[in-house]
Amino acid sequence: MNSMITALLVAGVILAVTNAYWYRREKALRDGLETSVGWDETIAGLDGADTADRRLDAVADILDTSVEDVPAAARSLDSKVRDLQRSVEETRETWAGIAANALRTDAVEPDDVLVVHLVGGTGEDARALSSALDQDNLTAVCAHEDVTFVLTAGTMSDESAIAVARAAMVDAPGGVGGSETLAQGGGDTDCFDSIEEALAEKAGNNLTVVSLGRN
Amino acid sequence: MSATCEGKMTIENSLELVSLQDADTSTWTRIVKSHDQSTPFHTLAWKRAIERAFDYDSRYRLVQRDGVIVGVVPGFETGGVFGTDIVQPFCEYGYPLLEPDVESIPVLQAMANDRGRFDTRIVKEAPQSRMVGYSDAGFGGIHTGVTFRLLLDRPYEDLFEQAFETEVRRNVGLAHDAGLSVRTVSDHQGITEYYNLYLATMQRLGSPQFPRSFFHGLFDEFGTDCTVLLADLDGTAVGGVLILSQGSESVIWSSASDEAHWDRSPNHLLYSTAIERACEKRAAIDFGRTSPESGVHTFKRQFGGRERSLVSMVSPPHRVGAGSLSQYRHLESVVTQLAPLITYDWVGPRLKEWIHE
Repeated sequence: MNSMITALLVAGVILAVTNAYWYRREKALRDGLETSVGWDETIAGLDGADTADRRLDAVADILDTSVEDVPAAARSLDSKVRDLQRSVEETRETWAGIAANALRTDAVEPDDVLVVHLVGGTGEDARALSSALDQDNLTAVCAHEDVTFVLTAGTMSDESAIAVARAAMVDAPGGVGGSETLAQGGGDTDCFDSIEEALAEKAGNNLTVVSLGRN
Repeated sequence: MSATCEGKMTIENSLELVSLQDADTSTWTRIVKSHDQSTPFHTLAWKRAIERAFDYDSRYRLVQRDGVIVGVVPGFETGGVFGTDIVQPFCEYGYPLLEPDVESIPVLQAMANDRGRFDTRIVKEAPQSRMVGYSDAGFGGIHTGVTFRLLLDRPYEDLFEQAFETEVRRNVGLAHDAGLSVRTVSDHQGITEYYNLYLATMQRLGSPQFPRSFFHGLFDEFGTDCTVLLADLDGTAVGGVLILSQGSESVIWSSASDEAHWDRSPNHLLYSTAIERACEKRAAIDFGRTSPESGVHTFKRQFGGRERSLVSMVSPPHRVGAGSLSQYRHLESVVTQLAPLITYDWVGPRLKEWIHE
């Protein structure tokens, strides 16, 4: 009888230990695989994140702020840039108005066929001046800073701005685009000679050429 | 996939794992030096230093494809409870380094199979390795702590002002005011000074210590990539750090300090100096593994590094406990009582060899 009880007790202990072992083993297996699956998903999702982290740190550094404050700093910077762009536009319009008035006063009549060389100006300056001049005839404003030009055909002109510009640029390096009243183009400095020659031809001997800015 | 002979494992697509031979060491070094995610623990200097101080068998493997070496897998056979643990001991990172066009899953599967029936393969991972496929290769994972990694993408002066918390700046100033200065160790006498501090720290913590020969081995094998800084007070070292470097990364691998001088903030001074030195040559510095809830975690966080999880991947997956460090942390309250025994000259290094962490 005693030996039966002992055998049952031993069997019970063995069963309990075996169950505990398999329970722990299964739990370790489940937890371990959960972690490795989570790891793989995380790393796969991180593709390039280390590079992104470095870039974010670099951006924070440039903005002189913490990584957490990068969005606010970027918004502030964007706002400042937009304000500055508005300010530049306003200043350009003011300058163009003053320049146009000065040209009208000193050298240019509204019906002149006109070429203006903006020695230190860009295409945006050329557009602003062209708009402020609002000439009645063919007018080209050549911006030497980025080697672009704006050609307009005013109300007195029977010419098409785009047709004149295209004809002028046939043999010149560069490109041109636009409409009947306003064409824009650019290339290298030879294109200015081509435009000037084309307008001289349209004006007979009455082409007015003016240079603005530093020489 | 099949085991063809000992030390050689054939993988699908004609990939195979082969034992590192003396003739292949230059290839190993080339791959480690050219790999973006290599660490000091992937270098042969680390291997040689361990072999000099411990009685582990090397399980360094080369990944070979069509006769060309396309990756490296570091590791040693260390003591386990049953069978052997195959792991890169005493460090945070032991993942394989593979060429960019090598698919990781077949290699990980081969690593999982490159072991005996009762052995356990442990791969120490961190997010920067970008290694995926562990679950497909049959590995289980266990979190082992976190590390902080500070990008050195600006001059030290800017990091000091922008990345460090005010507490660091205050403590560095305090350390200078208290008369502490930092010295770079240049000989074995200095290593011995550091080791004495380290041993006292281990005795305070009740943690088994490395043998002295390991530190001297690291100093010899790593050369200029091993930097030991000592914080001196009136010519006596009261704190120190040991930094290992590889490529663009440095790791503060070990630190020690004299508790009696903590009010002088030697650790703040040493860490900030380590970062300043690393700024001259490296792109990032790693502060080493830390338990997230520890005081050391709070200390390291002050320097502005980014926190990253550390994971050990284990095969077979039901033995993830072999990669866990929490079992040692649970013993903290007991081991401080047993510190004199645990850190006894003969006992400590042998315990360390067995624990391999």
